[in-house]
Amino acid sequence: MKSFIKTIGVFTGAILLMISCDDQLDQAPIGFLSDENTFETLENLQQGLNGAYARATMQEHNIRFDIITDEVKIGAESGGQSVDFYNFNLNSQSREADSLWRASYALINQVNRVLDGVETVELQDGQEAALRNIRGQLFGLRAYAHWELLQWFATSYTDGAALAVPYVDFVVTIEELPRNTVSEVLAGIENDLSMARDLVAASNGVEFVNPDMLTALEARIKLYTGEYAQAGALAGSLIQKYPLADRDAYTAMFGDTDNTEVIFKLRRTAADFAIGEIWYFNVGGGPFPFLEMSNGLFDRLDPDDVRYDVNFWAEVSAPADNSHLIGKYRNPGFVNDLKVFRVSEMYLIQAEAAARQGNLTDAAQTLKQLRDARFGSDTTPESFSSPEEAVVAILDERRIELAFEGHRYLDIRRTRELTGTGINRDPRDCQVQNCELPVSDYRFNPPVPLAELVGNDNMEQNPGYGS
Amino acid sequence: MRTNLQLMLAPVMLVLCMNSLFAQENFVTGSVVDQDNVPLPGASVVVVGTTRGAQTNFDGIYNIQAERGETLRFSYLGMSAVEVLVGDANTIDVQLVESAEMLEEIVLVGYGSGQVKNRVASAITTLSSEALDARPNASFVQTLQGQIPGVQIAAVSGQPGANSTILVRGLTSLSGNIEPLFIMDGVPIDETNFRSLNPNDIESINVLKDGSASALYGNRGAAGVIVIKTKSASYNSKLDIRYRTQTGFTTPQDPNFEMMNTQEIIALERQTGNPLFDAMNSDQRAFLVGEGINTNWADIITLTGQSVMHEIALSAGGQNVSNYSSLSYFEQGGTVRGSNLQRFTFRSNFSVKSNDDRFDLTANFTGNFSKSNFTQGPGTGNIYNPWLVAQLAKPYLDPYNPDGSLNTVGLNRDGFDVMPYVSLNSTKLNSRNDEEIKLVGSLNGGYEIMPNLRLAGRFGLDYNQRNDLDIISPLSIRGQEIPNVGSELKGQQFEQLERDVQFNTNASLTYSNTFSEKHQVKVAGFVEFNKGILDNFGFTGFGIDPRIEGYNFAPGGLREFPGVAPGDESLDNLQQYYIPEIFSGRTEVSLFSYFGILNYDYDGVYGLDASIRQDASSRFSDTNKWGTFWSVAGRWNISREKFLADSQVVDLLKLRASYGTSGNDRITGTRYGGTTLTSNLYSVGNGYNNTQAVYASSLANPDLKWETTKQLNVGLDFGLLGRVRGTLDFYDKRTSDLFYATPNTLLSTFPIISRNIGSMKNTGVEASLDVTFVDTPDFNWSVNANAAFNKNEITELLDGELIEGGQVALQEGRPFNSFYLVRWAGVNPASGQPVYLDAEGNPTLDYNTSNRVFLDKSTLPEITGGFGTSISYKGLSLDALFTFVGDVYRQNDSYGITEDPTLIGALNTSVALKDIWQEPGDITAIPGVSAGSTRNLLTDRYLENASYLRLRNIILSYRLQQATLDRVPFSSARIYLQAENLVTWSKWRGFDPEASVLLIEEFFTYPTPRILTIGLDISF
Repeated sequence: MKSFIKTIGVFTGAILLMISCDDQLDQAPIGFLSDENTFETLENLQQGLNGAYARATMQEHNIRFDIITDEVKIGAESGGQSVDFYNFNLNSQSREADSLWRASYALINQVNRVLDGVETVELQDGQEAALRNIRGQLFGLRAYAHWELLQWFATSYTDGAALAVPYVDFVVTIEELPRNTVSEVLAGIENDLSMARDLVAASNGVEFVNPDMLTALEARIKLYTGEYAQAGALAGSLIQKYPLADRDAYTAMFGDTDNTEVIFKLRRTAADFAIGEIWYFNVGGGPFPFLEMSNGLFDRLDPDDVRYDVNFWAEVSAPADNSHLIGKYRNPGFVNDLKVFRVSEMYLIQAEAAARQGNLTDAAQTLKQLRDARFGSDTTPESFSSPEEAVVAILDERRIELAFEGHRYLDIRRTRELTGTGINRDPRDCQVQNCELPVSDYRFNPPVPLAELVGNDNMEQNPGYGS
Repeated sequence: MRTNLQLMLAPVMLVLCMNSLFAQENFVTGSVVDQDNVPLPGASVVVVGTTRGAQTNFDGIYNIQAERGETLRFSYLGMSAVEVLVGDANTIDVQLVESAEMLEEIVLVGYGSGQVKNRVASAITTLSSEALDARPNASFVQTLQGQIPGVQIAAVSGQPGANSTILVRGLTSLSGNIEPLFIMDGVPIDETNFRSLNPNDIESINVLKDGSASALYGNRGAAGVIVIKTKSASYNSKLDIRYRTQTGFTTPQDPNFEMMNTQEIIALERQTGNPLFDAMNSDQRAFLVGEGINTNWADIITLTGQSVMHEIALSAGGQNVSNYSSLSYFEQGGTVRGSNLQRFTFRSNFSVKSNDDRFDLTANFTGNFSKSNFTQGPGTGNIYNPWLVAQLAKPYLDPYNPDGSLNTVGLNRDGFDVMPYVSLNSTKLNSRNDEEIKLVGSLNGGYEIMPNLRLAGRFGLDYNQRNDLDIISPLSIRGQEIPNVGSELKGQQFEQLERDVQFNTNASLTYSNTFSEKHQVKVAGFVEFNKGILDNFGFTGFGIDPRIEGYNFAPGGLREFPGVAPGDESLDNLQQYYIPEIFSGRTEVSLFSYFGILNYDYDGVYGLDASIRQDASSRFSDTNKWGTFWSVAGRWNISREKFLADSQVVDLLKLRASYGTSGNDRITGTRYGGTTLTSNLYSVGNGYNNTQAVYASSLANPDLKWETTKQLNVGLDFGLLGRVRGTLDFYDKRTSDLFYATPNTLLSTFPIISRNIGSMKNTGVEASLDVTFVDTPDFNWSVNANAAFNKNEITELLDGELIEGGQVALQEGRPFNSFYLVRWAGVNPASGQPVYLDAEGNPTLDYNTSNRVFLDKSTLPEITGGFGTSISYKGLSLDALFTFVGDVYRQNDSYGITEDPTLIGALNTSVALKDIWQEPGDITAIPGVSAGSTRNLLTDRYLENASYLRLRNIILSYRLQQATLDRVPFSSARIYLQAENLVTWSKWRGFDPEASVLLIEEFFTYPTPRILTIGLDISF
């Protein structure tokens, strides 16, 4: 009987244990923040903004697109890395285009979440200015991300009714958004820029969204959309403000120790993607390039030009053996800051805007100012007989000045109707690879990633990539 | 010898056999023997209508208090019970004979309850320890291959003890759990890891395949249940000591592809304008290459692993206590360097009962420690992956130093040109290992609180602790870049501790009774709670001092100023390379259930089982937390009907039918996965310029709910002429509310979102047949075969849409993992460019993903099974088991890369490239160099049939005959020679056609080895 009571006792205990176990079923995931407690203070918003900047990785994807231009050739250590892409193999699954899309929208989504978070934050006295600056930077980043999307994926820059990308100013979760038109996206960008201009603090510095970065972005947009008078004026206002770097400062700028002509750059640390890994195996005993500077570009570099020393890594190259290593990003471990806007680009915008408006002498003069700084001496001014001739010369100058900064492919896309040329590689750079992307090729307009088409029934693909 | 050993173990005996026989005052004694007059130890003797009972001792003698006029009932498993009225005599000797049917096996149906096989209405396959015995696989799961109809098992790697994927009656979930629930002695255990368990401890494995059986485990039984019982000793059994040993070696299987030799590859390099050999510089020429060298790198990279096993097992039982204990050591080497498993295990299974048989308790415990060393990067494209190197390294590279030793340095740098040296260097200097402690324990108790009413409880624990240690040596080539090319100290140490604890408690009340002698009824109610806690933390430290490699790394705060002259140090050029990376995480999951079961039997002829249960899972939101699952099953033992009872032909004929439902709450498959999917969450992480940031880390779908599987099963068991036994089962299994990670717009930053989106069905037939052709005392010959045909079909997807997943796509009416590709149609003789078929089947030169079509090929095999034979003459026997898998497809990326013309300079290539297109008019299957790389396109060019037939196991053994045994100090002895995976027939062009049924693209994974062993079993 005693043992009977014992057993009943154990059994009852077990039942009670189990009933209390029912609470265990309300188990929130451990180690996470919820919707309710993520944005409570200004500091939390700053953390959100820090995350937004960290997601602004479009520039590295822009630079990757230099691979399918005439700036690069297959390198000595190639094991097939990026060879498909080099051969103009661009389809809806290409990670190069996919990454641009994802990175831009990841930034936009983060911005919109933090902007929503502004509503739930409890401010303390004296934090209003800091909040304004956070919001301003968020709007600035949203404009920047939408422009990145538009410049790659829109079917046209000048036709306002053409298909661009979804413009998004709310937190998308499962909404399947269709593409907006170019003019709708541009209006959204303009709106974000004007919000940002009102809010951004003047003292943010070149590593954060600052008022001049907004101007530079707008200047670039106006150049692309063909509003040359405004492009020229906006570029001019920055030229007034920023001197061109001298030869030493120019070299130091790419070693990240000088910001003389930097308007906006993204700081990179060892925790970030090392930009040189686009071309190099990042291993000891190197550098081991699987991609190198093209012969075509190397031939255009004048040894008297500081850009020869910056773009070309002479110490580890042997031009006679077809070895031309890219030198623009050569900090230890290839960790270099990404320059997004430099004043030299403003010179080139101003020159092109002048040329397009027929002011050929002004264009030549602006170009000369830039070259004088780069050569450190007085250079012979060009003399143009037509806007086309001037644009071709400016394009050549951009190829040198902005090499490996993600401009080349878009520059050719943008000017190809005027110049009548697509991508033409030097024959030495494509002995077994493809040499040419014809001027009217559909691949000048990258594809919407397959992953988006699959997850969004309202999305439309760009022409040429199938359904 | 025997005496000595027993003396040594005498203290153990004292403990084990505490109960000696006591003479009672009013007693009846006697012996119980079988039909051959052999004493029956452990036979049960009860006084009918009382609670008095006893068991016979090892000599078959019993002793029980009984008065004149009472009835004694003698019973023994598989024998017909006998009742004797106690008269004047105090001695009653009884002979029991085998019951009309063959030995009635006890089948574990669930929650510890056994059921005589005859009374089972469910589709259950039982494997006894003989089917597992002595097989040299580190994980017992691999041994089950081809032995159970309807169970598909495939090793995912050749690493000793590696996990296998196991499917019971096809795939039942798209992204949720697909593997059966494993129950060991009543405790649910981790189904992904058995490398630490000793297979020889297993007594039987019952595979519960249909809905009525798995409904008993409703919340986790949707993919089937595998119930494992470990060995135990009978009460009143004599001491049995068993020693087993095995030794042998593992070798890689023969590759089914051919690579170029030195002359061929040099010629191809020159011909295609990638003259890597000719372009070698003086360093390379001096040390590494030569036109006269012709290295088969597969021979250099692979090796023969050693394997050793020792085990000692003891069992003994007294009247009220019994114990089985074992101790084992196992070691198996892999077929590449740095890959092996060492394991030490012990087990002790105790049973105790009260004298009146009303109370019983079993305590099972096993403690295991294993250490696994893993090779570098298998299954990856890293150039240190030995399997990649074995196939792709250039044959003109010299594997040896001038002094004849293996060259593991090369040019002491990374690069494709020195690929095999980098791999050898990495396997030699770098290490990856796991040490694992696995404890499984359970306590099962039961008490008959009043006649026919039993109260029972269980507590079970599965504890797994894993310590990972991965070291990249500062002396290795890989170490040169870590943590940074510019850092003074090099190398890294990754260490992780993971602790996984699963608790299970269960309480039950069971009423069972027999009415009017023919109506047997059992009703039981249960409450159960399961909890799993996964904890892990770890770090990566940098900067190792090679003198004390293993457990050291530089202080995180170490500062360096690379390339800066002394005195110029500033914050601008400060580098802190050695800051360790740390992490920590915890996940908890809980399940709570209550359920009831009913069993009814009429005279052993008809039977009905039913169950119903309610389950709650912590994974789902409050509204979707509970799921209800139920089952019914019926049987008709036709051979027990009068019209067949005396049949000389039909020994057994039983018809079964069942229908049941069960659930799955594992949204992403793994035990701890998917716990965040019903919540919107943010995480803290690394922000811009090393600041702190918050990011959205989970997008909630609060509508997620239980995935439910309903299964109908009809089966037949038959036995003829005492020589033939077989089973036949038909099933229809339907899963609804399938979990699936569906594509979501990238604008959300969450490209996939889990939903319950559709339905799937598996229909199939399973059959097994054992035929004994010769059955004489000296000569026996039998054959056995089993086969299963399963058809998987997705019957419903959200909106009927097609869901793409790279190489495969999901669509209604097609099996899971159906390949959806552009059809490759060869090479255009005019241009050397590939020709494809468009969606309509017309040739086209344009590769366009819109031309993808379904190919009626899937990674899921439709046919699986095995067959074997067993021949024995006197003590000599030969057993062979063949297994087969049919109608299964996979992309052969490993082979594809060997035909890639863009890699001719970098890698060795298949001999097929001798036929590369060169000039207009060439008719060949290999496109020209100008076509570039096509292997990564979504085409069926390398989609291969991975069906195979394999001689899975062959064993030749000799058992000492009684005449010999009488002269040696053993009670039995057996010596054997065996081979695992000896021969494989397959069209697959690779090392091994066996791979997980979920694997879509094979890329230099670790192939399963061939294992040859010699073994010895001795009992004292």
